[in-house]
Amino acid sequence: MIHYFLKRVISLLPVWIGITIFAFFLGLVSPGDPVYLSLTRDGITEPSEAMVNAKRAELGLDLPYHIQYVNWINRVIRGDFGKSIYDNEEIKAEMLRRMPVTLKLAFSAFVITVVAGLGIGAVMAATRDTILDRFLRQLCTLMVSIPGFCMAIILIAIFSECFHLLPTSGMEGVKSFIMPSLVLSMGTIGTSARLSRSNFIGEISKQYVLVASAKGMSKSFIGTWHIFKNAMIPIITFFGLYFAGILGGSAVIESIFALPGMGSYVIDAIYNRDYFIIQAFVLLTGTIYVLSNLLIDMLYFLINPRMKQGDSL
Amino acid sequence: MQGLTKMKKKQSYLWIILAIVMVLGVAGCSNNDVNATTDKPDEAAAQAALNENNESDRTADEEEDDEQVSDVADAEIVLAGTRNIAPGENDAYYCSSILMVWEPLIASDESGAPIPKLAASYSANEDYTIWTFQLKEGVSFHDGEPFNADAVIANFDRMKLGEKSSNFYTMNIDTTYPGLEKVEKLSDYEIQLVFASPLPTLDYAMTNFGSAMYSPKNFDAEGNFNGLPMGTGPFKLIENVLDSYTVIARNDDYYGDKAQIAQIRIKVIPDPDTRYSALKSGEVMGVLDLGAIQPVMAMSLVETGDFDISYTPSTITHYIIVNGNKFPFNDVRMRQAVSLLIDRELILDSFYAGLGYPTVNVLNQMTPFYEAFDIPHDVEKAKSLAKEVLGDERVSVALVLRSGELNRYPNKEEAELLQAQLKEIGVDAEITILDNAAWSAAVKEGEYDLSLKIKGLSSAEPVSLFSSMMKTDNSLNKSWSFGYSNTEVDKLIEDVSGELDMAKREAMYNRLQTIAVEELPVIPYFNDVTLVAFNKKIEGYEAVNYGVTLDKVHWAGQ
Amino acid sequence: MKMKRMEAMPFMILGAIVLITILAPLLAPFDPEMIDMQNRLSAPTAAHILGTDSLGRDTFSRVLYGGRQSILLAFAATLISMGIGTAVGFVAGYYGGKADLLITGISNVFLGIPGVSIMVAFAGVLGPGMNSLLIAVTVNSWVGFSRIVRGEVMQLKHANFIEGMKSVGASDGWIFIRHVLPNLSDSLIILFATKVGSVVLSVASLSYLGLGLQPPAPDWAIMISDARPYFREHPLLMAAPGAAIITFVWSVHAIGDYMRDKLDVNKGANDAL
Repeated sequence: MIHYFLKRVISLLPVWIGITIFAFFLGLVSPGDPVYLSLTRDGITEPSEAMVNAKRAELGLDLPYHIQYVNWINRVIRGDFGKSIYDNEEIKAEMLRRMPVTLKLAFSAFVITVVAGLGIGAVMAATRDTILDRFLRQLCTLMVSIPGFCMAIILIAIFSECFHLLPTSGMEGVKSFIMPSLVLSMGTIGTSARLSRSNFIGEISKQYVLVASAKGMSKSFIGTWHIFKNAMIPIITFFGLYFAGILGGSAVIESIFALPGMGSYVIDAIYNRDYFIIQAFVLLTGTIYVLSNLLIDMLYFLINPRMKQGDSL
Repeated sequence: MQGLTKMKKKQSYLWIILAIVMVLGVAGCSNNDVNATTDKPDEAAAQAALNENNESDRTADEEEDDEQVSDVADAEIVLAGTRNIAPGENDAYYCSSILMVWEPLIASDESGAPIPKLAASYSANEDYTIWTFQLKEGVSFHDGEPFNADAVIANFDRMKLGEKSSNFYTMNIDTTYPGLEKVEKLSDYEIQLVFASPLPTLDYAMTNFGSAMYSPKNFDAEGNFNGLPMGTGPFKLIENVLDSYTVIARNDDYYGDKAQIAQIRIKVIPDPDTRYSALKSGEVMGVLDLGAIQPVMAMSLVETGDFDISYTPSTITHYIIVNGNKFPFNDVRMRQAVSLLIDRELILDSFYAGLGYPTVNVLNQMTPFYEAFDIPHDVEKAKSLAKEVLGDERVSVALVLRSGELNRYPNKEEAELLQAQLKEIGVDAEITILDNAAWSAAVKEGEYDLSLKIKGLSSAEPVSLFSSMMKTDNSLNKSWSFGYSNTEVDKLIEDVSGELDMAKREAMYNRLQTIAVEELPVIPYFNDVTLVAFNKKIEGYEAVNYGVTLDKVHWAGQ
Repeated sequence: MKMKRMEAMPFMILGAIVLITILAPLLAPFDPEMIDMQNRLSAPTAAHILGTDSLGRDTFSRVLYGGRQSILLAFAATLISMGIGTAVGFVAGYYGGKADLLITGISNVFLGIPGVSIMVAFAGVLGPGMNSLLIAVTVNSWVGFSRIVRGEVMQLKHANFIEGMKSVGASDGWIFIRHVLPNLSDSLIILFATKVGSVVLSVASLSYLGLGLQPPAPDWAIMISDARPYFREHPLLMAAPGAAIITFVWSVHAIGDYMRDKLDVNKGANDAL
């Protein structure tokens, strides 16, 4: 187990380095000058060339790219993400402030997805080929097909404007998170329900279940353990990747519902070409991605130790 | 076979459900509003429930406040802003002047002219090198520190620490007080500013953000704020949660007319549609700050009968900016053609609900130096001017839009209309929406022909505007690629700063405006208004040229 | 096995949408970009059966045209992604070893970076428009294909018939085209359908942010975005393009689902439907 773990860590290390390089250059290649934007952010001041150059030098942005990269990595390893170019706020503090918001959002969307996805999937598998199954399948497909922003606008119009049931925005308790997490989980509920359905069905019809039942094992035992265990593998993969992906995918939702999370932070940073924030963000999501891959592998290993390594990626 | 037909039926149910959801979501609501106006108790009940929710969500340490404000008249009013109205310690001003937390030495009246505020009166010597200010007595900061000459000097000392950036107005002592040699205390309530060269319009530069005053104990060593801002205004800032809300409370020790409401909470809701929904649902009572609400949406609220709007001329002018460094708009006739071609009234009526003032003047109306000019609209003349330049050829141009502007203004629709009209004069425009950074890069590199852009008049003393937009190779003229150059203009701009005679100064500004109208370094099309919308449950919510009368706001009927 | 009528429905709907979209110039009663300020925000009339938008353009015509760019973009980008992904995935799965390590590593780098960041960065670098969207989407979605293909190829590689082909000296390319590709086709078609749907949705959200397709091109997502200030009084402005985009994505996804079920049928893992 430990041997396997170490092996995985070593194989993921280059991926992590690749992500840092990509993160670094992603910011740099986009046109636009964050320094100029920062100096003109009141919409009134117009800086001279010299002022722009001075600030650029101060930030080390005039150095060759590879030196900038090394400097950046040096700082990052020591846990220093630097300050925003645009408004000079500490990036780490800002991220620590915003992270809980996105985590709350992602987590509630995740819970909705898991509960609804597995639930609907199980119901569909159990009632396979009945009207209910077909109806739910169409519903799942439909859920995957609605653009998130469209759904958000409609939900706000219905639940806030018309019925005054839910707040439009902000972070006032659980109620505020209902609509955004619903919108965010919409698409994944559909996908995960279908995935769960076919996996459950696939496992039910597999040989070993038949054998097990022939051996006289109780039906409920077959149901709750064998089927579940094996059906879970692809489902875990899906959810694991989903959780990493949600961090970047919540930008539009966050700005519509006025949630000060990571998504809206990075979108603003992209608009302002705030390299340091973009880099820190991509590094963070990349690291989470790498870690969740590791976690998935470990889970695989625990559920089914015969699994060949490397198959999950 | 029976099963099949069943399936088919169910499929059509699905579509019906989808259709119903869509229609309910969008149309159902407007029906509901018609009911709401006739069915007030219901709405009030919903509102009460909402208020209750808000209250139960509060934390324990706020309970104390609640006791004080338990009176209905003093219940907190919740408003929504478009951005962080109080960006915090690292902002040069901590919060916008809209909040009325801090006050300047010199404020501005409705026309933008300077009026005394914390300075009770002021005067300058004959050659405008020494300015003397008598300070208001009996004023104290929110932390109890007295406002006096020492406090003013502390604020100047802070400014001298170096430029401070801000979301509102960069604080730079060298731009606001150029050539300041010393700040002298004459008595406890009198100070003197001594300059190296004449500054005849210093008072204009000092208005509002130019002379904000804070408690001398409010700064850290670097000149940033060491906590909440301690101003002298009618409101104290008592709680600030970045990107969520800011709470201000009445300053009961205010020297002037005290605020009418005990407490106001201003939420940050950046998305314009969400802000509209929050207002409509009764979650917030009003909206404020730049681009608080788009005019057409405000009008649709007014139609429901539960909401009202207030507006007043603002310092913002909408321009069609042009790349004067390259064909075709390097030719003044093409710029004139565009100005003649566009129907300013139509644009305003269609996309701004008629709220705004058509203009051809580069200078915004919020200054005593503003001149009104005739606004010609003559499509035939536009066509013939364009024909002189283009002949029978058609020309393709790039019309770029800045994505940051699209949340506030209907620029996209304006651009589409402009695009259609430009076809008539032989110009084929291709619209591209660029994000803010790419837009800045494109206009700077001259990789555009036309764009729509707003610009606010930062001071009622317009020299900085003329210098920025019209002086050869200067500032915006350069970074927005106007490529405008006129030796007479350059000379006027240079001379006007040192001109001590007000009448002559005015004449020079007139001349600059006239030249701008003829040569159109940019094509202004209208002067904007500050527009706010509010629920009729509150009163006294009036737009002022920058902000809203927060100190007059109160619950209706109280 | 004959396709049942109900199952044919998504195919018919998709076919109808594609046909309408292609024939839009013949079917549309108005030029979708024709501005008529006298007639703005009109309710449905005999001439404008879905009313007009804030510039007086005919909503019905715009909806007919509205799929042209995004559907073309989605199909083109997904095809290219599929091509690249399949080739790369085959190399990784078939040859294994260092090539596999390298490709898997690179794939993971792409997977580890949020799609939005990649798309916005590319839209930024190349300037918004069809081409940059095409590249952005491709960069973002080839990995999905290469992962699947790699996995399947790794399983196939050890199948007897492939081993047999190798032993008689068949070239790798030939094995790929004649024996691997046909075995992959089912999974690829399913993934293709899913991707086309999701590409349409992600282009829509970019367009919603203003960085996707550019005005005045009639496009469903842009129409939804433009309708925001008006949709409460004029619900059709949002409902019409909204229904169109949802119907399109739904039909594509439904086809993907159908293929998936059919695949299960072939594998005998499911009862005949």
